[in-house]
Amino acid sequence: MFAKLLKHDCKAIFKYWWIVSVISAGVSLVAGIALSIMNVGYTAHNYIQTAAIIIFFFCFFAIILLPLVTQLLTFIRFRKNFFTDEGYLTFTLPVNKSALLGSKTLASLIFSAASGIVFFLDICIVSGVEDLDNIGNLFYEISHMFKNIFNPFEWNVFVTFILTILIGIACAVFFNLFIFLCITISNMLVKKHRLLFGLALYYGSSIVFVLILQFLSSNGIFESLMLAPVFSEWYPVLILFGVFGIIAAFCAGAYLLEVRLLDKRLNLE
Amino acid sequence: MSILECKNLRKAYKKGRYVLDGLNLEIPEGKIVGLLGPNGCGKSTLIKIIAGLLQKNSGEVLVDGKEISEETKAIVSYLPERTYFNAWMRVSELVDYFKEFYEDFDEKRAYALLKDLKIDPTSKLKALSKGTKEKVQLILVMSRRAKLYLLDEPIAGVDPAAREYILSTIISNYNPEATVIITTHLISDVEQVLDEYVFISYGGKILKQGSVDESRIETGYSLDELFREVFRCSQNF
Repeated sequence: MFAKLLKHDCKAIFKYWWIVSVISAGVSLVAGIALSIMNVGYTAHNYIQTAAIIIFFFCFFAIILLPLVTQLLTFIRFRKNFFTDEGYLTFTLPVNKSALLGSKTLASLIFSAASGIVFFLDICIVSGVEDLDNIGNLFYEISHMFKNIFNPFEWNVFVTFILTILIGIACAVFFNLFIFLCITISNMLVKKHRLLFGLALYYGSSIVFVLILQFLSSNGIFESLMLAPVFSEWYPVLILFGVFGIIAAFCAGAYLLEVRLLDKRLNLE
Repeated sequence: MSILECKNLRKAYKKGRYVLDGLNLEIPEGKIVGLLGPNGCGKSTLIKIIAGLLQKNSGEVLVDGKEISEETKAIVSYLPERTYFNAWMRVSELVDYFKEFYEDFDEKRAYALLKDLKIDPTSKLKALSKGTKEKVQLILVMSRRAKLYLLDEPIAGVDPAAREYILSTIISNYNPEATVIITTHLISDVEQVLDEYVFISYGGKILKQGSVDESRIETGYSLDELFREVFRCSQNF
């Protein structure tokens, strides 16, 4: 059943996501042309260069928005599927709440990754329009960076690399689950302006979270942890492992709380 | 054996204001039952609790002897009083959706019913009228071989010709071993299809329950007349 749910969630998001992706590719092309004009240098028509600069920055801003739009699509899908009339179908399916939430979370993760790939391709388009060699250079720089990291091969560096990726994935999962949780709580607590309440809850708790982190870092806790006089090459790995564990625990907590709320408190009136 | 059992069921939307206050109900297998009562007496609330859309405050609800769960949802076919499908989906996609998630879904029957009503399976829901959307919904719900059908106000807001079609679809398509619970306040329209009735009053109080035919013989009243009589008396108290 989970695979079926995931298929339908992905299909529903893809329906809009591919349009956004094609638009971002088109915008990248325009940005690339603007960049080429900018790099020509001084021309007799100065206003053309000014226009190119403005167009480039607008286009670049639009490209950066792609991951944000993707996230927005997954949140809209979650809200619509669970808390509008569509919930009548969703919650009468013979599927448990964990599977429903799991498929939504995984779908949002898949499209976040896909948006990352599209974003990279957009960068390739922007740099490739001016000169195709730029794309080759970009790939060369990336492979060079990996060579520097892994040559000579050291296990602790490799594990650090893997843990960094895992922390990134865990952060993305937590970010999605946290927004899902805010949407759920707002739908259960208030009758009117639910979306507004959900956003306020999300931004409010994010500000509190950042303030706590700032308070801890101003007291030098993180600094003393990183610069502890432990002379082992595995020490940073242990620290990262701890960070991953904490984020994973947050993810598990948010997931279980969300499932419990849907299981025990859901009332589709 | 009963397909549905409610014991001391309580549900409040606001603290202390119970829509269902200690409801006790038993529905037998293989019957078409009318859950009849005035607006706001808790009919839809009860149906939604059975379908798993609302959480009860206390009491017990058993469908086929089991608590409400994925297991009971697999044997319950629910028709809400509103349209609940994603508007951008095509009718054929909805048929596929039902086929994928419900093992008891009869795809052939669904397409046959769509053909009967001249509904194009390739059309998108947003292109259909409200009435046609409701018919699509009914076709999908009735194309399941469920053990319990919950039909919440299936004929409210549709013209008399459509009412007739809806009721004939229910009768000719439901699994004869299954139970159908129909909530409505349009009693005269559903009377001819019902085997049993349950009169439910405010607070989820069961005022009267029994066989439609027996009550007709015993009282000499039609179900509609009996309903008026019972609720007139209950309002006098």
